[in-house]
Amino acid sequence: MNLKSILASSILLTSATSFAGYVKHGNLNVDQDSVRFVGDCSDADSFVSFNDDGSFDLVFTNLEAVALGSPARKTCMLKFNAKVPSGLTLAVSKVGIAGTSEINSEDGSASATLRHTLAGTVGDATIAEYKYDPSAGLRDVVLEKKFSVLSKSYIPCGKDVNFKTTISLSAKGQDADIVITEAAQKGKTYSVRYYWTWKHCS
Amino acid sequence: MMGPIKTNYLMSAFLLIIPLFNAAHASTLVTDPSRIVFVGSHCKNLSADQIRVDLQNRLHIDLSSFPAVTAAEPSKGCLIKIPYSLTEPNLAASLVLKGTYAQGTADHLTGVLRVGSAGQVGPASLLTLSESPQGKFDWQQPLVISRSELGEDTLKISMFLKAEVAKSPPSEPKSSESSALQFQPLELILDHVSTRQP
Repeated sequence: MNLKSILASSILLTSATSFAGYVKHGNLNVDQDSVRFVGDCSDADSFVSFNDDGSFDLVFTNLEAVALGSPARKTCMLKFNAKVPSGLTLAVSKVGIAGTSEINSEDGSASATLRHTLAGTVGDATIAEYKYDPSAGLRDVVLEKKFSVLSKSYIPCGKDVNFKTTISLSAKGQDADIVITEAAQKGKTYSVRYYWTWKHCS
Repeated sequence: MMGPIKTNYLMSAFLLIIPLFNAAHASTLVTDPSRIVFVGSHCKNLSADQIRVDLQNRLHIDLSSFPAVTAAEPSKGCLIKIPYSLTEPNLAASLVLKGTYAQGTADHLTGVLRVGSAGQVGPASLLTLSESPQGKFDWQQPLVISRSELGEDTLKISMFLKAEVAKSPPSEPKSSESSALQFQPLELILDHVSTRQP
């Protein structure tokens, strides 16, 4: 192994992994072993993909609430632990969810709720609700929420990140369906994207 | 044969950025196709081997190894993440999804193409295939893209296909049409045109 490759390996190790079991994504060092999907989802049908800036995307291939007379509800939680560098703190600044909904009965309705918890602080919910509309057919569901400076909750300085996000889907009526997905109607996929706001602390 | 395709474009413009792979082109987003990431179990067979750039600088992703939607497995989806570097703020582009389908008369096939980039979850274009029992689909979606910030980002394209199989009364056997149900994407093509003014 020559000096160049040793250097490259060292840089790679330093930048990609700061702690055993942790992988660095931007300023976020994620404990890969702590990533869990809980509830009506599992790691067989739910996938998280971190981006270089520490944001992440989720794909769900089986998260759907279908009401055919009886109300239906599905809930999925993603949780993971992470470390942040000394002198930095963070808050969720933006979140987006996407999917589809189709309501074919007059008594039908559907909703999706997204809520996160960061280091024990529960964030504001993002909610989408849909009612019967005979002209609507299959509807795109896109929700984006930006958290204002006042509504942002920063983790205490020096504290590790314990992050949870819960997605709840509800459908009521004779024929109502909602899927929060990154595409696919009734389908089973869901995408959530989180953005972090960082600031220095002491 | 081109079956009747009903598309519902939920957006007139995506506020996105389209990457392409031609360093010589002024508007091009020079990047490495081998860094494209496929997320989800349904696209586990996809890799850089299925990606090519043609002479017109269009990005082609071969989806023939993507599992078909069938009556037994009625929903499939995949998220594709493409790193790029934007060199100008405005681009026009298009996304084309090609494939084949076969369905029973009362079955219902739908597809969702969604495009997003860092900072936003993009809106979807919805496809419904009905009436014709089988055929090819060539689903094109124009994109007008603008962004104030240049530089590195990730384009996300998600594709989901779903079949709703017609429900037969329990006393009736399933029709052979339903059992032949198939919804198979074959290729995704990303094209772009620079909108930079001279």
